[in-house]
Amino acid sequence: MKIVAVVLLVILVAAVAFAAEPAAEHEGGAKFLGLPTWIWKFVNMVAFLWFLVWALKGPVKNAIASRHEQVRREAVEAKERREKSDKMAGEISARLAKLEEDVRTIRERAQTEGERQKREMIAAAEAEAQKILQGARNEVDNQLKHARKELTEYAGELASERAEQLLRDKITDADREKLFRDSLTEIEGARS
Amino acid sequence: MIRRFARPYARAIMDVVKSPEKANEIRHELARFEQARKASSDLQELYANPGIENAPKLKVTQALAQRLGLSEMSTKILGILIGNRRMNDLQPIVEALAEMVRAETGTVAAEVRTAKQLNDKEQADLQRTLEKKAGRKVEMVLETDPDLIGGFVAKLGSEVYDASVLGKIDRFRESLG
Repeated sequence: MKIVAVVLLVILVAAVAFAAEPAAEHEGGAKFLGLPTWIWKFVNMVAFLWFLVWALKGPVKNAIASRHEQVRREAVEAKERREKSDKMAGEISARLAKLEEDVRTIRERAQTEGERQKREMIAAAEAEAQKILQGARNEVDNQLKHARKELTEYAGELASERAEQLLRDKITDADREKLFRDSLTEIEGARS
Repeated sequence: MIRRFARPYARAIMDVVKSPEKANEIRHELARFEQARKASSDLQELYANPGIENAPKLKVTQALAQRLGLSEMSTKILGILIGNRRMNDLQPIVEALAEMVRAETGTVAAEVRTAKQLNDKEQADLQRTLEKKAGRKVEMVLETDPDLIGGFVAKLGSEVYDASVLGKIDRFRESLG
């Protein structure tokens, strides 16, 4: 109702203003309902502006409120996102710090392990070398012993063969008799 | 090793002659006969041939026994062996008899190889020494083996005494090995 009255007022004011135009051209100062037309035009403009303000106040207010709410919400969300980002950044920083610590630990461990393996490998290689050396020494000793034994056996064999041959060639009956007596003595002294 | 069948014959001889000394004499006589038989291929052929009757075998045996100076008992024993076709097994019978005689007289056999032929004194000394070692009477079987160079080797029961020069040389060789 209010809207309709306002609309009518505007139309009437505007109509008066437009109706006074031709008279104003002839008389030098147009009037409507005893008032100069410029007042009506002014009123008309004020009414228009008021109407405009009245008509647009709600939507604009709503839009502004909505926008304000949206901005506020976005600000909250931005804040949350910021907090989240900060938190995430903190976590990432912590992780990075931990990662660096882990990397350092792994590097130290790898270094320690590497050094241990190196020491073990060196020790194993030294042991193996010692073993090979000892084996070679044993082999040389065995060969030497074997050679000595063979040489001794050979020398002994030669000596015994020579002695046997000499005895066979040179032995006399008197020697045989003496040997028999010696053998008797030997058997008497032998343990059964 | 004495064959199984030889023991009953040896036991029968021991029972018949009744004394180990007499059995020992018989044993030596039979050993002499066996030595002669082994020395002659004709005699070996004679006793081994089943186609020849026992009568000629007995005749030859008696003649040989008389020549070897065997006793009547020994000749009879040989006759029995001819009848039983055991003349070719005389050696193990003699060995079984020797074993029984030694068992009866407490004697141990000694096989002795010497580098030279021993004279009587040396044999007596050796016998005495071996009996001292064995702790009983010893019956020596002597054999000459010049390869020993000097000394002797005596097998007394299960013991072997090597007092020869060759044995000493062998032991020296073994000590080097």
